[in-house]
Amino acid sequence: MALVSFQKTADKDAQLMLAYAGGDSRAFEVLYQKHKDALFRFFLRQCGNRALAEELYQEVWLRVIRVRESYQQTAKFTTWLYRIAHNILIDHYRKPQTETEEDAETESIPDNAANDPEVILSGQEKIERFRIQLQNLPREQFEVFVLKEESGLSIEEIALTVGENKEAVKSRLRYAVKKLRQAFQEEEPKENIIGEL
Amino acid sequence: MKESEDKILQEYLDGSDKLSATYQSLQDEKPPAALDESILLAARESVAGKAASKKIIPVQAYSIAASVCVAVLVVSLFIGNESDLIRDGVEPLSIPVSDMPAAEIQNLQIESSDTLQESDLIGAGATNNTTLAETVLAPQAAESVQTGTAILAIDEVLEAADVAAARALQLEEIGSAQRAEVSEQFAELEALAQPDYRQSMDTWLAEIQRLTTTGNDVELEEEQRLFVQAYPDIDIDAALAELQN
Repeated sequence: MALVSFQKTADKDAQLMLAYAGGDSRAFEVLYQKHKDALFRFFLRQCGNRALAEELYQEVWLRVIRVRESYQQTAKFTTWLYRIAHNILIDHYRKPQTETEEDAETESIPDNAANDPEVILSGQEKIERFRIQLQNLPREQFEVFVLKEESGLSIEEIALTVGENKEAVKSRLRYAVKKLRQAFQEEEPKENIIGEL
Repeated sequence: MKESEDKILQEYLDGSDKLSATYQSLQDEKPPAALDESILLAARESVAGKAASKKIIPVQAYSIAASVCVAVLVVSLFIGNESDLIRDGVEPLSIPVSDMPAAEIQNLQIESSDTLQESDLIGAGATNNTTLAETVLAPQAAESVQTGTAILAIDEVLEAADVAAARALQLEEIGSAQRAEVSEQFAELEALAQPDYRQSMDTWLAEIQRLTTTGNDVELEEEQRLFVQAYPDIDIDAALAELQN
């Protein structure tokens, strides 16, 4: 695992976090306002359950608050923040789920609007198809794609965030992009070329 | 599919793809205002010296399994009987990698690396086939048409050119997919080659503790750095103290 090189002084977020560590609560508010929506969507898209997303999202910020005094600028702030989020998400996945939680998650899955004959606008239909493709991605590919979109991190930084090497992240993203692009392709019968070989 | 997956990825990374725009057009969800207030209040209270929030949960030891059982590293790379282009792949692993000696993992990495190169060769071979179809067979057919001879042969050549071109595209796609798959497997093997103690927070802390007592400062510093990177919200000193207790 190689550290991503970054300019400490250039990371304003890290400076804000250091200011908060020093007791400036307004610095935290600035940081919070900047990252809250993206971080919330990071959880919501992956959990598919609003209540659970809120719970995990809150946990991230409470951890940030709790460790403020020991915060050190060892990486870009966004990488640091999403690393905490990633760990919390992994913890959640590893926890045995109760039936209630499973039910809640199932209920929250959006309706397949693409199958609804009322959805006749092609643009809307494509977005729905895209959403379905997104939901069907394997968890690791999903996370890397959402991280890329929501956090704006580079591949190297995402690798640092999810604790994988750059090649693994690149590979996951490549698969994700390939599958998501299928949402834009026309509904053509796909030849099973592999089966013919 | 003519575009290679690498090209598709690069287009996405460059922003010349519509994926990002479509993703951003999904519903713009925000956290509820009450939650915002609650978190900001906790942040202010923390600075003011009060307990951050009633909802703050004590540091829980990460319940990472003591050993990560890795059983799925089956390399099923080669489909069909492309004996001229695709040679035998890496044998599926029959025992968990965690039980393997380091040397064996290294061998697997080398094999994986070799397979990666083979996949590249397949891609190159496919490209050559495309070139052959486009630059040799098709012009040959065209030339035959011009001479007005051997009409049946021309049809056959044209058909062969079409088949070769289609085949080349299929092989290119397979080569690209295999390259991506092998690349991912190689990355997994690399991760598995990491020391076992990094697989769980407790064992990792135990190793840091051991390095502290042995006085190996260089290794200790490196392990601490990697640990902080992996668990940015964990206070090493507090966690070590907790481990000792």
